[in-house]
Amino acid sequence: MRSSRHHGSTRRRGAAALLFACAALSVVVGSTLGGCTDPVRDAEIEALGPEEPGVPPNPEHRPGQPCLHCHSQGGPASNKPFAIAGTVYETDQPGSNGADGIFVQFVDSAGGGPREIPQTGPSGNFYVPLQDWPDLKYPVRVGLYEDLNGPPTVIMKSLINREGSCNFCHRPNLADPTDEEIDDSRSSAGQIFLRSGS
Amino acid sequence: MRTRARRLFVVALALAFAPAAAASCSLRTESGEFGDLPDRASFVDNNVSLFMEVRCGGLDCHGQVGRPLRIYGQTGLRLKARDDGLRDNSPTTDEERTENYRSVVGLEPEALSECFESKGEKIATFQLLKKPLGIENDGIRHKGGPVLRPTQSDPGWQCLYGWVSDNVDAAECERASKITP
Repeated sequence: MRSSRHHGSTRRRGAAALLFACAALSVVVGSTLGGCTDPVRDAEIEALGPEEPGVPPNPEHRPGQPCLHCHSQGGPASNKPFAIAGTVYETDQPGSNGADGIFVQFVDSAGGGPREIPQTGPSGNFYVPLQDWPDLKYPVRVGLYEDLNGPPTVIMKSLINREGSCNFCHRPNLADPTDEEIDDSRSSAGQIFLRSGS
Repeated sequence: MRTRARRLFVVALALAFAPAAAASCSLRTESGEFGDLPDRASFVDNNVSLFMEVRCGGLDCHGQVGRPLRIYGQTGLRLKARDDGLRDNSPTTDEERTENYRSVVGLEPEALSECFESKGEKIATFQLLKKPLGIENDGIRHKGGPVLRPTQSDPGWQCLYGWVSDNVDAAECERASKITP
């Protein structure tokens, strides 16, 4: 009797352990399949807000925003991943127009660069598709050229160390910032621009 | 009863040690309980701060308020904002360099002190020196990759290693702070 009771309780414990293992496995698998995202990045993307009315997703959309938040592995636009991307404005004034037709020339620490030198569109946006610069080696230096045969209009004073979204550091200048936005400006290099003034 | 008495004894013991533990958490600076540390003047006057502002303090690296090694500077994070919220491109201030010094010595003060007092002999686990080498150069993992090489020909290494081993050369630090196209 003692022996059969013992076997019964062992079986019950075994069944319970199996149930527990299955439950744990289903939680792990479920969370892996259903929630394979970065909650910090998700929140940052959410904070960017919806598309501008009348501007569908295209190379000119969302100027001034950190492009690689979406255009990189794990992002909602991961089917069009970028190596580097950003926005160039005509001036440093808030509300300035984007600078169209500017060449953005990069040189990485191995002396390499993108297969094609990117050029800004009407919104000032430019981007380097990841397949055009798969072996990018940070840090990177960058200059803006109105004419590739002439001298650079602007050379960035510091290095790009590891962030592919230029607008992550170069946030657009604001006309009437709140106190919080003024405090946040300590960690922004300001918008990328060709010339000071209006 | 015996169990209850044991619990009471453990609680009494914890209460007895609590003030002592709290007192030992007080931190003293510079030549305090960690032993000697390199001082602020050696950090600022020998361009160590300048070197770190340029090479470590990018806004996409250590120029971020949430980083334990937090570096302020002219081309990176600013300590104070301009009133209009536009970028402040003025030179790095003394106050910012003091904050840089505090951040650097506050990372691992015991390890820094050991390194400083041993003139650079004891650096086995000192992250300030090991991290910038990356795994590639016999250091430890650095998200920014290997940014220094432990050689005579790398002015960045000479600057940082020189400073923590009480043998800093301001000219090496200045050389290391130049970015060439």
